[in-house]
Amino acid sequence: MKNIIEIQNLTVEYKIKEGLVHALTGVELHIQKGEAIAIVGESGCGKSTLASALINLVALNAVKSGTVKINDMEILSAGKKVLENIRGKEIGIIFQEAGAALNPVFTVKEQIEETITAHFGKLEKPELEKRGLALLEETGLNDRERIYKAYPHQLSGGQQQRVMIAIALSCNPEILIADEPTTALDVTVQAQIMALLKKLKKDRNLTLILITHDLHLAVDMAQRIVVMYAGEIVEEGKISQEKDAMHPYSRALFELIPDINAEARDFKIIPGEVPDMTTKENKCRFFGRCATAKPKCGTMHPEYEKVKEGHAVRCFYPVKD
Amino acid sequence: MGKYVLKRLLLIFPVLIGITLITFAIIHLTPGGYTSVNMQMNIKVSPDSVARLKTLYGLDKPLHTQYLDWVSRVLRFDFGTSFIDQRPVMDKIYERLPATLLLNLISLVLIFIVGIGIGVASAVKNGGTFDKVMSVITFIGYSLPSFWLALLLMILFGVVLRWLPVSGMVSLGFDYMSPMQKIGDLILHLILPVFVTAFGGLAYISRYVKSSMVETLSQYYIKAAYAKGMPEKTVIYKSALKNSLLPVITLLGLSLPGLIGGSFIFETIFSWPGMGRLAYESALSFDYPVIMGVATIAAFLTLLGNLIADIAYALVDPRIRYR
Repeated sequence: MKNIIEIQNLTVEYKIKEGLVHALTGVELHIQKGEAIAIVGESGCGKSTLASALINLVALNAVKSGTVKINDMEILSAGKKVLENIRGKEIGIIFQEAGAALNPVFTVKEQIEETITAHFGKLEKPELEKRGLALLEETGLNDRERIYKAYPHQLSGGQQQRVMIAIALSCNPEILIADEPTTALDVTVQAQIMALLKKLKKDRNLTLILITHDLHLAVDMAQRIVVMYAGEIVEEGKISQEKDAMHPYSRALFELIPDINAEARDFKIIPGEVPDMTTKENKCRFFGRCATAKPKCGTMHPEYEKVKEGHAVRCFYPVKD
Repeated sequence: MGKYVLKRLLLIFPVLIGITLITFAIIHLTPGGYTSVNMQMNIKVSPDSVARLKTLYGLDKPLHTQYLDWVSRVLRFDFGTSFIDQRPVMDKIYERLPATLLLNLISLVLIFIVGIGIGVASAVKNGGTFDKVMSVITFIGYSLPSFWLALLLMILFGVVLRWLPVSGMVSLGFDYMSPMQKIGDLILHLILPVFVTAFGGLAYISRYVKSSMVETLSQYYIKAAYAKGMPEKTVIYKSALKNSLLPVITLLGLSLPGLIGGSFIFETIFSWPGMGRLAYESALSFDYPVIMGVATIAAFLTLLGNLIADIAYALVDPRIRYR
């Protein structure tokens, strides 16, 4: 299968007063067309920066290097026009908080139609409206006539997220990035939105990139899991349960999931903190929090290595049992 | 909405009563009075004639009676006649209104168009050269006392360079000019007053628009707009601009009274025959009916301006619906 996304040695650093924040370091990732992958990690590990880098929409104070190719088109060095064509048309993206990602002073109609117009030029009004309403139908919205003319604040959180999805899909992109799509929603709505994403992925044969800190969601949605820690990919592979994971950090993430059947309901935590992202010491970034760390981990930075077909880990002592 | 407007309209009246009451009290409590200005220095005036004059204008009555008299007349849309020249106050105001409107409309339009332009341009390239230069200029514009700036400009362009007239609205012999000459003459007279009145306001509006725009551009929905592949121009001038101009509407509403009330200082400095100068002249000569007339109309328009701004805000911002 052909790779629709190829990321090589991607590094993104934010310039701040205190120095450089290494948001992403040496990220390698290949995604095949039609695949569903999940990028997992704690807050601040670089997940969202990675999503932004895919459409070259990182902050102005960011320094980027490496390559990101979408359908063999290099993104990081691409000009404005090329980027405008790729964003929305080849890659749709939905954000964490649909309420904040929708423009408060324009109607749903205006926001869907301006996207279509930006990519397909001016269409006849009835045609535009037909497409817009069809998108609302596809995202499972009832009461479409009202919602189409409504302003974002007149919709519920779930409706807003569905509208956001409709906008993201309005120009038929092959790739859909969902950046924590359900974090701001309550549990029942979460389940509905995830079911919708699953259905859309199947119907449209989308390449889905789900960014989440919820391993449950990740395992449920994706064929392949990418685990990130402190701006690096530490593990990637087909992981569906704890024993598939080989990096101590991935294991620890599984440990965190509360067990409903357990007697004691203590919430587990990973001791310690994410390392200071402005320094880059010559040691494993997880050193200090790792339960199975050995002296070598504190003196050398592990390489990202393939351990078996379709599975790579950045660890000197991957867990195997 | 209709109910809300009605409620707000009715609320104008108690506020208006308060304002006129305070204004009335202040001008009457000010040491001196109409009779003293005209007679105190004149030894030929007998106490008798002073008393007669006071009775004539009703100034001998207790203050509250005077106020109620004034209110009852105003309710019949009669603002009285000027002490100075016995002409109806409304006539004097109508006569001065066009000059003030002309000057202030031009500067208001200038302030908002240029101010929004500068503000948006500074915000888009926040921290760039244009932004820095504009910061300095607006900072100067904001800090300079504008009457002083007016005087300096009058010296430079009126006295030293002799390019522009320094005062008045038209030249001597205006009546004998051709229509084109008349317009040209008026424009020449307008340049300095418009520039000086607009300069300070420009500084204020452009900074205000800039900060509003910078804040809007940092919003999540702007990132989302870029993410769906909208061209930068559309994002800035459509998605962001509408959001960032909402608060500016309030400022526009608040500028309305200045449009009619005029400016005491500028109109006096430039001998501009408008409302501001009328108020200033009447205040100096204790011409109570004129002062009260100008104050009442300015207060009424301020309140109306606020209301219009609120309504306009609700019309453009879908999130606001008044009850």
